[in-house]
Amino acid sequence: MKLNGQEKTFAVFKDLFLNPGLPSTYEELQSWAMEFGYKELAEEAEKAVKQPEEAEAEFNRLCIGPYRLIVIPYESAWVTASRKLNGPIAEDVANFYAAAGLSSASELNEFPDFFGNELEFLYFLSALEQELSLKGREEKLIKEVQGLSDSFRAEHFDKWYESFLKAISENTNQQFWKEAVLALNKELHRTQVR
Amino acid sequence: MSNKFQKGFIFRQENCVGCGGCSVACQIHNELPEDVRFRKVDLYEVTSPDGRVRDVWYSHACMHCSNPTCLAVCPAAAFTQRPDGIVVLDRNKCTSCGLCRTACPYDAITISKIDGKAAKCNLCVELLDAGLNPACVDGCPVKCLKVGNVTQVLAQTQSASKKGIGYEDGPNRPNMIIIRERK
Amino acid sequence: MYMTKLTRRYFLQGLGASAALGTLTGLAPKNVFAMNSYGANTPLMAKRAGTIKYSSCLRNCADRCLMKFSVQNGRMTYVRGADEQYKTGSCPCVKGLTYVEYTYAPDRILHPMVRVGEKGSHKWKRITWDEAWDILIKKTHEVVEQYGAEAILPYSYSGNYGAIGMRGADRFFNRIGSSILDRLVCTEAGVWGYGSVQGTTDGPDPETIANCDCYVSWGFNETVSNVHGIKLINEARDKGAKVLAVNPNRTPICSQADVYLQPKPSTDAWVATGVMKYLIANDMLDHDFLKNCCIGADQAIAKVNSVDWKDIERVTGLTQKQIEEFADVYGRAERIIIRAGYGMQRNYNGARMTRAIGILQAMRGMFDKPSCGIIYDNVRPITGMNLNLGRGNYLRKGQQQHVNMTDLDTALRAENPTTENRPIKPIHMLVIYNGNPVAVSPNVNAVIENLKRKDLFVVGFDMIMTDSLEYCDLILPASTQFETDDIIGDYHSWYVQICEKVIEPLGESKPNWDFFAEWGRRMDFTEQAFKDTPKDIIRQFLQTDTPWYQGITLERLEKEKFIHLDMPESVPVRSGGKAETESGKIELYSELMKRSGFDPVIDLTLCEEEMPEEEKNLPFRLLSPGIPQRVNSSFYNVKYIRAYNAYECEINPEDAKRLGIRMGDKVRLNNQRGEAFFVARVTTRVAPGVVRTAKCNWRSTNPYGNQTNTNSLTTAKLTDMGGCSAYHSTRVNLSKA
Repeated sequence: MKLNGQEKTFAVFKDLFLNPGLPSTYEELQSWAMEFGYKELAEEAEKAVKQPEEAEAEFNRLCIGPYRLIVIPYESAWVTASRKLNGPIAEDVANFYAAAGLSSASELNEFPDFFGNELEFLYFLSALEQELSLKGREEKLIKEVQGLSDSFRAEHFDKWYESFLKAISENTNQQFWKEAVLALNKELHRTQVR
Repeated sequence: MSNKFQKGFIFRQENCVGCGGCSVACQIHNELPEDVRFRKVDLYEVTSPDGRVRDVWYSHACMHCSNPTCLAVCPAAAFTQRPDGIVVLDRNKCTSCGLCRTACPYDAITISKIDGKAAKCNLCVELLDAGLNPACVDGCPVKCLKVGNVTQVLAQTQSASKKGIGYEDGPNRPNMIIIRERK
Repeated sequence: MYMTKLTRRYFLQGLGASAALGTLTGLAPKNVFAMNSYGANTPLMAKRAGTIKYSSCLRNCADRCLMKFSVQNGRMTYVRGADEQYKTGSCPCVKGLTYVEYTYAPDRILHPMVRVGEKGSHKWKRITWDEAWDILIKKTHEVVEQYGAEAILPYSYSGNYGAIGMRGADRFFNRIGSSILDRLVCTEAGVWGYGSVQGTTDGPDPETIANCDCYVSWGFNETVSNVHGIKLINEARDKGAKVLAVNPNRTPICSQADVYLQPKPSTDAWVATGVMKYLIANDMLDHDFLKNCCIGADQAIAKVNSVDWKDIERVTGLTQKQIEEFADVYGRAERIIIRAGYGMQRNYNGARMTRAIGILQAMRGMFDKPSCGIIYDNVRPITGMNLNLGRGNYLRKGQQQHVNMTDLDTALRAENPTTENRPIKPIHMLVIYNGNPVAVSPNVNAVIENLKRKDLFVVGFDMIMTDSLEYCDLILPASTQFETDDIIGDYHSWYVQICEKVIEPLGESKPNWDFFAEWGRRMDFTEQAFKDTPKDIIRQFLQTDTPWYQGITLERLEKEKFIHLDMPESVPVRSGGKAETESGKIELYSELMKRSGFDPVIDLTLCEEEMPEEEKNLPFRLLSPGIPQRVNSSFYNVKYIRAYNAYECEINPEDAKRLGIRMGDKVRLNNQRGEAFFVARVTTRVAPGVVRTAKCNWRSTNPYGNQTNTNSLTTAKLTDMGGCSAYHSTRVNLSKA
């Protein structure tokens, strides 16, 4: 069963991984951190609002490039022995997106199993579920959305997020990132499908 | 004159063993009735000058022609030619007249017994969008079918042509390519 | 945790635009690129989503594909190849593509049933499992008490090839002390033939075919039995390798071969002799190899030289020029792999023919070096497991009689039953599973008469109503391989692979092991062997000292799905090792063959000499190999596949003309065993005097001849060595029907 507020969590953190250069990303994160009781994160986020480039650069250094990636942000690298990218795992993730009428072929055009994409997918489903509820749509439809989300977490997201976030924490010296992944990890843990 | 984005099937006929995997894979992806095939595999017995007889198979689906007669004859304008040359049929517009089936020289169009409307290969556009191969390409165990930019392949590949057993170029300007590396 | 069942509509389509769509960055609605996506039929994608389960195809096939199944809400929705394994690639074969249809076939037997009325009258009554067990246990005790446990005979073979699925049931039959079924139908003549030369049936890793410079397809149809291997042949060809083929029935690879020989059936030892004549005459021999690694080279050369080209031409129907064209390519190559077929040795002279091919390869020294050798039956992935523990061989006490599975026409007789020309104690309970004798047994009319015996209780345990089950007293519903866990050793490529449980058993069906284990427990067998779970049994199979199985665990298989086995050279004669022959060397002269009453070098006897009088002079030789759209008797009922005709009779145009038969005519084949009807395909795929139909076809699905099939005609007499089937040593009459 979903808990309230999950949509908000997914929303702010997916923006962090998809739009790490925008000041608004850090503003939202600051609000969220205050609402959810992560004081240290709120402080760091406030600083980052004024200098988003620093946080962005750190993210790029760890996960994007142009040099060798320190923490690979694709599920395939974490769950397959071969660490081969854009293979069967990515394909299956894409199929999940397709089931909801989405594709990762946006302007960003990342591999489907990019961490930001997976977070955004969970965000989308949780927002959709809210919307359907508010509109008073059929229980059956809402359950389908929940089922898709539960399934995605069980089959994909939950298999790697913890290791991925831990690796970021271990490889960064920036307090902002340490606090951010700590908070996200905690929230995801709380809502993990068992 | 040719479309530089033209997509089409690339068939290495000399390696085809006629198993029908391509045909069945297409039926399964498209959830077709058993007696409907968008892709067919025909058998030819070819005799060479030295008297040797060989079985050769010809796997064919829609040719996604540059001059598609199906599109030309359809009174309901149900066919569209996309920028990448793929010819798609909007079944919602089809009025079941059957003219396209008669007009197609490649036997690529079926009239469904269920709703009376035309149906044909759409080069698995939904799979291409997802970065995957068409069902027939992935369904071939000997890997003799590909999809690609046929204008480029024709220009760059010596062994590519529009001459095969059971297949040749024509006024429709079909866009399947035959690859022949041997002999 | 599984997804709830996806509907065909996508959420977006049903909802109108969601506000959330505007807030996306990484993802986008699929139709945002409207031009490129125009014409896309996106709901078709729904079936591909879901949890992925890996299972290996467990039909009797050298490909042994590893597949990925999509599962949604406990239902299998899609199958594709596990393309992380190069051997399989993106797809299984044309048949494997229909595994969803196979699993959910509407004619799956889902409940136990008992016969009402005569055997074969198609009248059944559904009963509960409790009632079924009641009948079965009572009957089992009755048979054992009245006739002894040897009166029980299992009939099974390769419907399910899994380590557990195929032979887990042995635990039950071993423990109860039933007759022992000798499952020798398949490769056994070649086991002796190639074995007499190289000491084994194991050859090189097929993945080395890509590096050979000459691939020889001898009596094999890759399109039918190893279609995934064809890409390796083509890789070799793209690097300049030549392809040679020998087959009385032209296959697709024969058509594509550089040189193709179409000899008269079963004259292959003569063909090999002709090739050897050319090699000797042109000194294309590996003299060092013959000297250091072989015995009998001189005798073999003498034997070959003693055979006249005129006789070779007369017997094979080929010309010297044709054979020499083949031999020239073969003689110049440096890395030759012969892919030796199984069908070819299913003849009265099967062991003798295969021996000649082995000798040929030895003349060129094509052993114990890269991309060289004979690929026949690479069984070490199977034999390397702990079969004693896994199959429960230790449970068998005492000595029970053996029954050759190809002998059902004589072994199931009420009076004077025999097998391999030996009398046996009569059988009173037959348990059919993983097999379909009415489709597969030769001389089927006689088999059916036996099945109809009132004093033979026939139990059928299968997934669908096969023609054999029509003669059962009790029918029990079997699950498919996808409804349980298993593992499998390849018999061609060098792999061991996982078979994950994909879905729960359908209806009241039970997986093979569950059924036989329960039968054992209900018979009060208290051994742990009958309490083992599938995973217990898998661990037992893997509990072995075999070098190439060290470090292979269930956990590794669950994680990696497939593991390449590091197996040593099987014929290590160059590197100082021994072949598993009596002398330890490659034997071009064989004491074993001499003791068996055959020419110790090359024996050129033909099948016709061993046929019964009434058959010997019939005008046509009947060959009945496989077709690509079936595997033995499987897939006959499966949607999409069943549309491919399994009842064609290939007839040479000269014969067709003479008999007034045209393409598409109904034809009748007959001999002393029975008759069968087919549709004519007029083609040079067969030479004059030869006809060809599909193996193991069903009677009930034959649209041309009510209740007739290929095996109504075929001989049940066994091969020269090994007790193998000899289906292709059959002769028939042919006429327009």
